[in-house]
Amino acid sequence: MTAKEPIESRLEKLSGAIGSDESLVANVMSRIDSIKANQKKFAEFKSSSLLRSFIMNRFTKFAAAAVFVVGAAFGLKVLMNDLARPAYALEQTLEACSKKQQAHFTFVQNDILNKAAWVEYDTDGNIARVRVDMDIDSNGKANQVIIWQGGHTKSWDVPQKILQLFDDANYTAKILYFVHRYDPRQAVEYMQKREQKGDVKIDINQPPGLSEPIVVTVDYEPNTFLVEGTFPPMREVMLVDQKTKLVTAVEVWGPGKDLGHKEDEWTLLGTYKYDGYDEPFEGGIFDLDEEVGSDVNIIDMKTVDNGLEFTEPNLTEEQMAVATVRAFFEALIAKDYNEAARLLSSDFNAEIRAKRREVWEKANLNVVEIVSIGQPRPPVRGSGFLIVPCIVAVEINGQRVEKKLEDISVRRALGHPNRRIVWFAEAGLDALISN
Amino acid sequence: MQADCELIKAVLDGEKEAFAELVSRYERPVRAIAINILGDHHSVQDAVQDAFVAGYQHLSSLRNRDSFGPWLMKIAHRCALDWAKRRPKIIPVETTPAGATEKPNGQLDEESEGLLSAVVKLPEAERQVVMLRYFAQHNVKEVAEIAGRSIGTVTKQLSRAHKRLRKILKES
Repeated sequence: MTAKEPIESRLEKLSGAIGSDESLVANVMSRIDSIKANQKKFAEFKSSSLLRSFIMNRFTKFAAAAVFVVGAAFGLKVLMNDLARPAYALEQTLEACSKKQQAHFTFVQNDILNKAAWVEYDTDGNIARVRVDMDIDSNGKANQVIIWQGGHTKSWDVPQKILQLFDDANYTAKILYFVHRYDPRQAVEYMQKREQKGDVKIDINQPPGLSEPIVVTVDYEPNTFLVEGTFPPMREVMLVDQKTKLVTAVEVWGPGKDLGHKEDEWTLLGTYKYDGYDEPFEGGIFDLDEEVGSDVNIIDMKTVDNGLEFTEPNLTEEQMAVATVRAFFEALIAKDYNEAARLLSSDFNAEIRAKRREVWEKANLNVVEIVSIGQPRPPVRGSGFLIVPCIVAVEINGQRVEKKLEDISVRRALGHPNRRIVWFAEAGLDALISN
Repeated sequence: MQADCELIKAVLDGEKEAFAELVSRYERPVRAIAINILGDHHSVQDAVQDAFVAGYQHLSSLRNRDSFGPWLMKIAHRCALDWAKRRPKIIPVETTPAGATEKPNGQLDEESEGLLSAVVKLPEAERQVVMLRYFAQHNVKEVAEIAGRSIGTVTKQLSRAHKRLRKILKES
């Protein structure tokens, strides 16, 4: 294996070196059989021998009866306490949360930590500072970190070593919206508001024992899960601690069919976990200066010249999206690769644009015609951008090939509310230069 | 090709053989995780077995059956770390016969180690498709079926993973 070999063939060779163990399946299955056999023996022992011998022993008969009487009395006491306890209402959670100055929550998907957020409030209860760690890897390291404070946002792309700075009202609204939505207090207030409008149904199940959580199930009608987004019907299941009345977790469920699953049933999309109320945050959690390292590339997005600017009033988002995609492909047809890269969201500095130009020139990219640009549509789940399906013709090795592109989207350019940029998956860009 | 979620359903319904299929399917990806942490051959075998047995024992607690792969990798990571803790602190120096170029099963040369360590650093979704595609040697259609994703998504994730691997290797 050499460093010059294509990555695909290096991976194939690595697979050979990793090797395999012919007896693995047999060994694993044998250990499973052994565990099952032991479990069966233990279950039989528990359910028959132990209990029978305990009850039938003349000395323990009396003890068993005594245990039953004490148990019944204890059960009755618990029942009486439950009857005396007032029924749970969401207001109790609002009251419990109202004195908290800080909130920390994590988002777990498929048992894997995906996001973590730290929120600090000022004395009036307004959000003062926010940190969100996104796309956390198996080593617990975030691939993106966002810090928001007083309208100023810092977004750190950790692997790319890029720190973007921007003051964007739209982005601020998005960050605050995310926090509002999953801050325990505001999440409950939101549910109540939507219930009053008739958009959601709330079901509260309070188990008798204090050790089990109160379960609040909230069913959202389509397009009500997030105010500004397009959403299918959604479900949230909120777990509330019986003693403190604080939210401990919120499970988010979506329809399985909508996610491409075979069964049309609710599928767990992820769980927000609230595992520390008012526990002091680590020092410097909102300060990225030391964390980013000295080799980070700091980019003030206000100074970046990118995207297509729209000065005409009354243009719809759809019209701007179509115009931006058209401008991008027209630049490619004219082989004006600087302009095309300027319209791409990922290519925001001269160095990256030069690399992009080099790749396209080397690959003899030859876009020859925009065949069609379809009606922009919002994403199935989410908000803040429009997907623009289109077909373009490219010439590869002298052959005209039509490419149907489904993953182009148009969004606002950070720091420039009147500009729109094209977001295009790298694989989509690769598709333009290969069969 | 049965999807992971279908095999898991069969296992939970009592079809033990379906788990054997999952073991075959994920053997190399799990070995890769263990080799990256442990390096030496014997602990790798033990850690791989432990990972599959632990996976079987906790299968009913897996709520999203389509995420079996990443979930199992996490278990494999933990099992390998457990075995790493159990190893003696002093590792005997092994002698290699002069001129030997073949590495025993599971022992990697420096470049392979570098590539494997880069694969392990990939984000979960990309790592799973790379491991299924190259280590478990499934084609893209099969990877899509196993992982419960569309072919387009798998293709995109592979493409991103290739790019990311090139970058990690270049920087290392």
